[in-house]
Amino acid sequence: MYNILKYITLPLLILFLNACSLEEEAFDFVTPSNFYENKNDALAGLYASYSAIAESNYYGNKYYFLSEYPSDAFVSDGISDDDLGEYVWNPLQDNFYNVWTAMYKAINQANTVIDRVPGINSADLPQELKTEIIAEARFLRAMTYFNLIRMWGNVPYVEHEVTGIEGLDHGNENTAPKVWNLIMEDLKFAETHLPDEREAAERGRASKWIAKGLLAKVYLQRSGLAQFSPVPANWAVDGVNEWQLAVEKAAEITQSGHYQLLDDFNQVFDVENSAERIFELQYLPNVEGLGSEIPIQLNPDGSLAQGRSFGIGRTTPEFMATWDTTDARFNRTFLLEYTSASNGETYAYPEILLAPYIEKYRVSDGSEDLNGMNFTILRYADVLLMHSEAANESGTGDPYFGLNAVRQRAGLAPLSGLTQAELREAIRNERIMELCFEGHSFADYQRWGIIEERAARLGYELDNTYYLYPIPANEIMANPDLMQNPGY
Amino acid sequence: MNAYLFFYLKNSKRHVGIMLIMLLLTGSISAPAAAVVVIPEKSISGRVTDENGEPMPGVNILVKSTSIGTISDVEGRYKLMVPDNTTTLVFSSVGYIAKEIDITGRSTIDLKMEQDVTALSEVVVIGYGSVRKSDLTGAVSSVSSEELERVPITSLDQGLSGRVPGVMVTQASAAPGGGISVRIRGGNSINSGNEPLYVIDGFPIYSDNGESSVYSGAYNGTSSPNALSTISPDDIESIEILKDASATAIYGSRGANGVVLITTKRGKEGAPQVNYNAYFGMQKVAKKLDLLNGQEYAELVNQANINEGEPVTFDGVVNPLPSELGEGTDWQDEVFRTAYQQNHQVSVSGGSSNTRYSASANYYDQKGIVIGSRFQRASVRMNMDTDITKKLKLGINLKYSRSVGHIAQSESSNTGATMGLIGSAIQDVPVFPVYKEDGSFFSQPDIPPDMNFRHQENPVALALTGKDINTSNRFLGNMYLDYTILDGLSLNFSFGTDLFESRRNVYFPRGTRVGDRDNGYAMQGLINKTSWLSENTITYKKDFNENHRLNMVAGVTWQEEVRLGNKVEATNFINDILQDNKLSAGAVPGIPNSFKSKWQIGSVLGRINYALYNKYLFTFSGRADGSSRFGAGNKWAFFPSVALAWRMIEEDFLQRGKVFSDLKWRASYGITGNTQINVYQSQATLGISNYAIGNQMVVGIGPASVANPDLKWETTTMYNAGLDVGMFENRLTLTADYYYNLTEDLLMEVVLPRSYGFKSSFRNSGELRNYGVEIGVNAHILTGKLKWESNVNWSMNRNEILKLGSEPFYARNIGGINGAYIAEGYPLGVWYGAVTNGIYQNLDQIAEDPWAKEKDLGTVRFVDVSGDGDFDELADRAIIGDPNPDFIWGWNNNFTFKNFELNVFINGVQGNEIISPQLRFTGNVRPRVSNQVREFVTNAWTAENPNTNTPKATSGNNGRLEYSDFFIYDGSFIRLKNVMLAYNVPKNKIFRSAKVFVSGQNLFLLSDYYGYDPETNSQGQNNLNLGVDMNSYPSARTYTVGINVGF
Repeated sequence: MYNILKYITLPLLILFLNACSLEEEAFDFVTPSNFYENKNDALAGLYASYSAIAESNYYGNKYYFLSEYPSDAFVSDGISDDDLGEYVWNPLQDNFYNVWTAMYKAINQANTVIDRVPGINSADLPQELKTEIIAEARFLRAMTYFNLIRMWGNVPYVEHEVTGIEGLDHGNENTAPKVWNLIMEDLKFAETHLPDEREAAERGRASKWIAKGLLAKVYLQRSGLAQFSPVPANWAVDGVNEWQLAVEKAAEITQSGHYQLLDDFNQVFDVENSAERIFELQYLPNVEGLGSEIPIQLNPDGSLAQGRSFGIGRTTPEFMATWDTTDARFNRTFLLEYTSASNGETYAYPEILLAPYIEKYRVSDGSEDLNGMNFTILRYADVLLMHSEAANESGTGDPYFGLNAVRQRAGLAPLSGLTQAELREAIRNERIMELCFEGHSFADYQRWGIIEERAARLGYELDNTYYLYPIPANEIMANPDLMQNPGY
Repeated sequence: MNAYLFFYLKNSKRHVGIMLIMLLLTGSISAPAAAVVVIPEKSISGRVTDENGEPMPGVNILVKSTSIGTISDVEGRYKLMVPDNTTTLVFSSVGYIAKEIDITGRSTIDLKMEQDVTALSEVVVIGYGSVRKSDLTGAVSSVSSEELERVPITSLDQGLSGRVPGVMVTQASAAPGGGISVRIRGGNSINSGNEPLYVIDGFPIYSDNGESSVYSGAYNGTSSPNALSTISPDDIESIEILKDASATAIYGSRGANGVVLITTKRGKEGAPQVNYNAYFGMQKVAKKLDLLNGQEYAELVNQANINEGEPVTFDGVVNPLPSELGEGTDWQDEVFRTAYQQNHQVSVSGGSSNTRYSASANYYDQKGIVIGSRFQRASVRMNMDTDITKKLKLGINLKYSRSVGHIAQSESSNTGATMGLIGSAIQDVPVFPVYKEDGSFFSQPDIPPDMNFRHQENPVALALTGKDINTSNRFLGNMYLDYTILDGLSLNFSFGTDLFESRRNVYFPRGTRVGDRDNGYAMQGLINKTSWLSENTITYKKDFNENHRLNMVAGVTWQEEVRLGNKVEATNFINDILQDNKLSAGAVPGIPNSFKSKWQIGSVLGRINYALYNKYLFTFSGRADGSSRFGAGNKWAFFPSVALAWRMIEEDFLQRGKVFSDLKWRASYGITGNTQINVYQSQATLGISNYAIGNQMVVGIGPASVANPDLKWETTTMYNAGLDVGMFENRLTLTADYYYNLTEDLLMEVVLPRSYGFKSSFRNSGELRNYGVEIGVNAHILTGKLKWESNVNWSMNRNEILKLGSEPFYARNIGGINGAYIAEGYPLGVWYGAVTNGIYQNLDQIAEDPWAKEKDLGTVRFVDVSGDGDFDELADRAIIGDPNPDFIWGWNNNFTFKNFELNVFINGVQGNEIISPQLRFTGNVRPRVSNQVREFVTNAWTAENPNTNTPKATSGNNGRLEYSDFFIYDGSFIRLKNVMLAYNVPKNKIFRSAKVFVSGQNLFLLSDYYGYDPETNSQGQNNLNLGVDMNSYPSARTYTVGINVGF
């Protein structure tokens, strides 16, 4: 019996203890310890940063709606989106949390590139290329912080990759000065180190011109907020006067000769990567996860020959009534009539439709998140109007140059000889007509201090707390260091 | 705690050694003693029969206090040579009262054995062995095959419902083959699995429904099929539920949620017995929601328009007048049907003196009460035990099953477009038809714009043309070799495998919402799980004398599982002919995906059961587990338990038999663990996210999760005190238990501030406790010609999060409503939000609340919880509901009269609450979004009907009801779960036995709940979101007839 124990049980025990390799083998994912080693890894990190910007909860869909709802031109269909379009904003609404989440994910992806790429030692990644990739990530980070600070004011300041969950300070007490600084430093670094142009194979990656354009926009926004907007004092824009810096940055672009207005307003939306578009997010048709959802959200339900659209974002009759219908942009801005693909009937405003739809993102077919329509973040007309706005406020440069170029394409007579206040009104109006529904409304109305005034046109009585969105309740629950914005 | 564990771990190896030496010593002493007995001899023979005079094979016949003996043969006959001086023979057989017969001067002894109704000598299967029921020190409940047979069930976990104290069974989906969630003594964990460990003929299986089928992204959140439905319940001999640490600690890191041991039927020595069991059933939907018909709906829409000062929608010009609409379409009637089910089982069992076998084949087919849903299963099973030599035994268990489920798109947690079949059957407005005039399906684009009706999907089109088939194959096999070294000492080697494969085929053609969106959506997915198990144990059982009995087991085990699979999708098909059968016909292929993961667990285990003077019972057990799932520094841990029991009935002062026939006190303490988190959670990972550069897809790789190398098991410390009482010769027995389970180092999926760039991370933090009382009573009330046996079980559990280790958070949002609120001091699953106090019925009430405005008349009145004179959605939140029941109970009755049997089974749940997110659309009197539940409409506030608590109809924004207690209901119910009447055909030449029966399930339900069934959780096995009724598959009322025949 001893033998049985000796020959069977004991060897078995020994065998067993030896077999106990409990290391966890990874099969279907990579870990940071075996990544960030060469040029391809650095680029993959960068592409993930782009992808985070383009995803559904950010520019792919949800962020767009948040950037338009505060405007009097844009409402939801009345069923979707928790009445955000009806100025019902509160910290519990999912959209806020989703967009906030997506933005900070984008920040972390960019921070990871900024932190990891310097440490890569690989022959295929020379220092200049490293610097260029870092500049690109810093541009993406600045863009997201600029979006965050405009929507939420003081927001957590994070400038490094998060590698552990202990001991982080993500409060938002008076972070605005730091965030503004980071935005401007990142953009200055980017305009210095990004290339002048991108060849076709790199189309979609940032050049120095978008960094300059965004920087102009930052100066413009800060100066406008300081001068016109009832924003909270802790937003760190008191006394800022950067109008002239904005004029200079915009002028760098207008004088470079890189960009121009297209002759036909339709082409602005129909021709991708055109000479008018300075930076656009690239979407591919018919590849899962690489499409934009905005067209199917905005085209009328049933209007597509193939696939489905939902018509969630609509415009308002009140806004359309402010237009001169002979404006060359009118027909590409409003959709007054369409034919249902499913029953062949034609629906028209105002006979049947209660409000017009939006025409700028018109498509004839497409499927959810499979639409390839690129989303333009900055186009040349925007730069021209920024130039005019800043020139008018600062008294430097020619305020009519940009404005009249845009008016001329719209078939409108050039303006001249206005007082500063009249010109201000004219430039603002032109900006709304030119750029409505393109994701700029919240920032523009905020900068000009006109959110309540424009909402009143739709019959809403708002107070001046509508200049910032509420910080999501779930975020405050997870991070008690966060302070809610006033009024929520 | 760590130091303490370490002490055990360090010493456990030495203990094994000491134990082995002990085994050697005791074995070598007893062996020579047995060899001493010799001549002269005499012969004894006879026949053993049961109470009915049937021959009893396999009865042990022993000369008292020796090992001399034999076993009766197929005819019940035996012959034995015994020493001449023998005076007493002992006859024993499992389930029968052992008899001692004086043989002085006799050579022929025929004996009739008596069944042991008290079942005290019954052997109970426990982990890695079995013990006499009277020797149990732990909390173990059993469900026998007879009980399971009384209710037609699809899967064995359904059979536990209401049967056993401390076990709560919740149907995640009432669909055929739908998922089930089982909680033994409450949920011990927040983020790890809370399902018990199932051990099928020794093979441990964790029933994770989500892991067992490919996730179809089309209709989000539809409930996963039941992973245990691949096993035919007809094959089960018994189910043992191990509840306290004394019983479960031997399963170590997987024992914290309790263990369900399943033993399948095995052959007995004797002539082949053939059995055929079959039943046929008819099912109907038990309850429909009372929704508006076409005319009522149109009137409500118009009323809402009027309340908002808008022109009416159904004006007789653009749209018809309400009166022209009549009944309209009843979408529920369109998708519900009377459905049939059938079950057939053929089994053969028998054996010779050295080989026993049992084999069966089963076919089960259940059509669902929702059109298009169905579940079919075919299975075969075979097991065999053979005595190769007297000492060496070999056994094999083989089970194979194949099941095919046609899945209805129910329980979707989506709102809007992809709410699925049940969601759209409830919400779709009754004014639109099923078919257009040309015979094609009516769908959303056919609705004129700005009618603003959310007709999401034509559910009939989805059910009839959508395809979602889950096909599973499972092979479960193991083999063992049992070698008896000496009397009482044996070695057992077993090796087994569980091969599970599940394939999902999906196609949604045009006409369904997803198909319209994608121009045809196809998906094929495959999951393959391969699990290997090696278990090697040594057992020593010895009754030294009447005063000392020892039962020890020690062993080493190893299990590993590889799970891999893939999923491919395609969209934009030219037509709907080829479907998922030819994915390349889709113009737009999805990005193919595959996955692979692996875990391993290795263990050393041991247990000692010792009975002293038949009165004092001790159990010590321990298991050291090493698991790959955990962080580098925390791979191994030790889980000990100790229990003792005092059989007070054996004390002289109790005067056994006068009143008490049994009295036993039990107490146990132990530590168990929980490892059911997803694999790889301790590692930082990078995820793939793609982008387009230069019109080409490029692969992006970036951070996806943040690391935690310190991740380790949750440990649950379990205390249990119990009492077993038998009275009046065990006509009345009672088992009562009190338990207290404290779980520490909770694996928390901590919601991170999103500014970290990650959504959540796993961390060991927090404590949670469950305590409760369980009572089971069994009474033989009538024992004459009319027999009545009644069985009641009752249990309560209280759950509380003692420490969270993170900020409170909301669990995943369901249908636009916040999930459960997870916070210290509250049980798992509570809801937190605004408190309502009826509605503003009049202007006086508005004047009472400073924040209310005149236009709020007829809308919900919120309570200023904080008392600051203003209502604020964040500041004025409170606990508004709790899905945990106060208690659950079951009452089972068996009546026997002559050849008739009647079974009546009632169960209930008391004091729980249900949240119904679908009411956000169907109960908010905002008709432009959805059809409405009638009671909300008839009660709606109007100027004429101000005394109500239901808000007015509106076409606009009706306040933030979804963050309030408005959709929370009492979920208590009493259900007549089963009634079965059976007739046992008297034995004749053709049949060995025959029984015919009729039965009905779910015949009666007492509940205040408006929805289909209060016994629901559309969130399935989710730990946090309990009691959610979201687009749930309705439950059925079932009538069955069946026969059981034995040849």
